[in-house]
This record gives sequence, C-alpha cells and structure tokens, in this order.
Amino acid sequence: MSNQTLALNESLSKEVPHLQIAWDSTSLGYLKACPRKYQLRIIEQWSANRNSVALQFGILFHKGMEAYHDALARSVREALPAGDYPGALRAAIRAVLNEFVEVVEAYDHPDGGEAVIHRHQPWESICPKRNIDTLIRALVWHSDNYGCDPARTIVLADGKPAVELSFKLDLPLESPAGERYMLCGHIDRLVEYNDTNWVLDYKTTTMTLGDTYYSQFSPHSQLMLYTLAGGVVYTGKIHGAIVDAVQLAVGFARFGRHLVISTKSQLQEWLQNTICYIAQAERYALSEYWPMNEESCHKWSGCKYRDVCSKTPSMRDEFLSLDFHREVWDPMENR
Amino acid sequence: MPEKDKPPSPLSVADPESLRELAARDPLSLTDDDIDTLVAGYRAERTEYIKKQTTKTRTKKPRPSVEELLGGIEIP
Repeated sequence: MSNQTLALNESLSKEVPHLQIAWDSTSLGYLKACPRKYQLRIIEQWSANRNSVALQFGILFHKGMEAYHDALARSVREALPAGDYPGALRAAIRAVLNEFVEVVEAYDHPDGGEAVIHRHQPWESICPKRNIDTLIRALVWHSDNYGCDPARTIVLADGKPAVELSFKLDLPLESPAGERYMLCGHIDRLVEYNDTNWVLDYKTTTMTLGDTYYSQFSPHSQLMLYTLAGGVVYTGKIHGAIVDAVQLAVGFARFGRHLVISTKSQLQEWLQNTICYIAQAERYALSEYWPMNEESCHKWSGCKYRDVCSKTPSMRDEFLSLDFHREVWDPMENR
Repeated sequence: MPEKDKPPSPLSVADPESLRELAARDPLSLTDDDIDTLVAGYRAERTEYIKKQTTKTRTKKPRPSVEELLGGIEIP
C-alpha cells in the first residue's frame, strides 16, 4: 500500500488498521464484488478522476428531490395545507443549479511527474440522456407525474419530513478490539402508502422500465438494509421498499414504481449474510491482504480498476496515480 | 437581497429553449422568474409528449383478421 497520507475515515477502527467498523451498502457492495476493489476504493481511497456520468446524475437528482420534499413539507407546516408545489419545484431546480461538482484533472507538473488539480464547476455532461437538461426535465415531469403523491412523506416526531434520513444500527458483532460493528446509510424517503409504511428509493436509469429492469431489485442488498433500518429508525412497521424509478431518454422521461416486500426471515437471512461478509473483511484486514475476484472484472461495463489490476503488481501504484485520486468514502459522514 | 428586489439578469431571456442553454452554461444567473419559465417549457413538452403517446395509441393499426393473415391461402 502506498505511504501517502490518507484522509481520516471515521468508519474505520481506531484500534485495528484498515478494519471497517461502520458499513453502508456501497462498501458492502465493493467487498462482495471483489475484496481487491474494496481495498482500492474504501481502504486506499482511490477514486476515478472521471466520475461516472450516471453516478453524478443520480447524486444531483437525489439532491433535487430532497430539496423538493423538504420545501413541500415546510410549506405544509407553515401556510399551505395542500403544499406549495411550484415553490418546491423551484427549490429543487435551484438546488441542482447551485450544485458545483468537483472535477479532478491530471497534468504534467513543471518539476516533473504527474499532479492533479481539483476544480469546482457546474456539472457538465455531453451524454444525451444524462445532462442538466434531462435532469431538470426529470424533476419537473416527476413532480407533475406524481402531483398529489399517494405515497405521502412521513413526518417525524420533531416535525421534520423523513427525507434523506441517516441511520446507524448496531450489529451483534464486535471487532477484535471490542468495537461494535454497525450498519449505516441514508434513506431517500419514508412514506405512507395504502396505510402502510415504506422506504422509498430513487433510481435513475436509461433502461426501459419493465420486468427485466425491476427484477434486479429482488433480492437487493441496499433495499434489504433500508427496509431493516427503516423499521428501527421509524417506530412503525416497515412493509417494504418502493423503487421510484425514472427512465431517462433524449426527449422524454418515464416513471414507474415497484414494490419490494421482504419477509422477516428474508431480512434475518440478509443480516446473517452481512455478518459473514464483515467477518471476512476482518480476516482480510488482520492479514493485510484483500484477494482479487477475477470473476467480477468484466461484469457490467467492466470494473473501473480492471486496467490497474491487469498490470504487474509493482506497476499498479503508478497506474493508479495517473487515472485516480484519493477521495475518502466515509459512510459515517453526515449529508 | 430578496429575490424579488434583484434586478433582472442581463443574461435572462424569456423563451424556455434559451433558458435551457443558460441553465447548462451559467446556472447561477437564473432568476426565480427564469426558473418558472423553464418549468413552463418542460410542462409544455410533457403535454406534447403525452398527446403524442395518446395519438400513437389511438392510431394503432387494428389487429389483422385470420383471413388477412392467411393472405388468400385456402385452408384444406
């Protein structure tokens, strides 16, 4: 591992080096896909210089929806029982327009070698389906499509809407140093739908919304985690998860919702699996070795570290510093 | 300064198409009025899209009959 100083990651053990204590669905996903991928992204903090357009679009859409529901709930509390939809939409659009994204560029340093520069600028994308135009369209059409939404945002005891709800759950498992492992994350929305409570998660895609698309959500680790956590964070019973899907196209957006119900025994099984994976991560950290899973290298459009892992081990740090920069992924960070 | 007291942005333009370009090029220059105009443009686009979809459904060709499918082939 490179000796460069890493940013503080609150999710890691204070006692055992490179042992993660607080786990979110992203870090679990990396570990399950490939322990080496997990090592590179979570432990060594290597993030691609070019952020995926899909990821950036998703982040901005979430920010817009959070601002929308926050403003809508505030208007209901303050004056308008039916909700100020135009005001909420304005807040959503303003939230995405005001969002500057970090751009990291590598350049040749005058003193020799490569260096990177970090800039903040409005999000730019030349992707025809994911850009600022399709983003604002998705927000406006989503608001109009659901109008007086039958999935109503739950209002928490402190009067705040249950939007972008952070959670932390203790696990019945301790590290060798006696630290209690935990699960954490951020739930997009908790809603009441048909007299039952649900966690709602936004998903943006360019796939057609149909059986093929929705089949990926059952079973689905993130939705299982959120369903489990929703029941703890919110005292009422959580029935399951609603996938609030947005299909993005060049000239239109389509919307669909899909219910994913998990039984108690399914959630227990998921928890048991997760504890097994965390125990495995503990072994990797104690042995300071995270093995490669070559079966994952070519899945989807290929792992972002594939080009690095295809090089001989002594060359990898050099290749990492060319196309990646250090950026901490800390599940404990508040949004 | 409250939004309503702000002077109109020199870049501000009335039509939604130009505003879309402005949103991509200079997002911070958009006023609340600009955003409302932008929203109206996306709404009009959605109405048009729904209309097209409805028309598409209405003008869908009726299913061919068995006789048409057989194209004159006689069933023994």
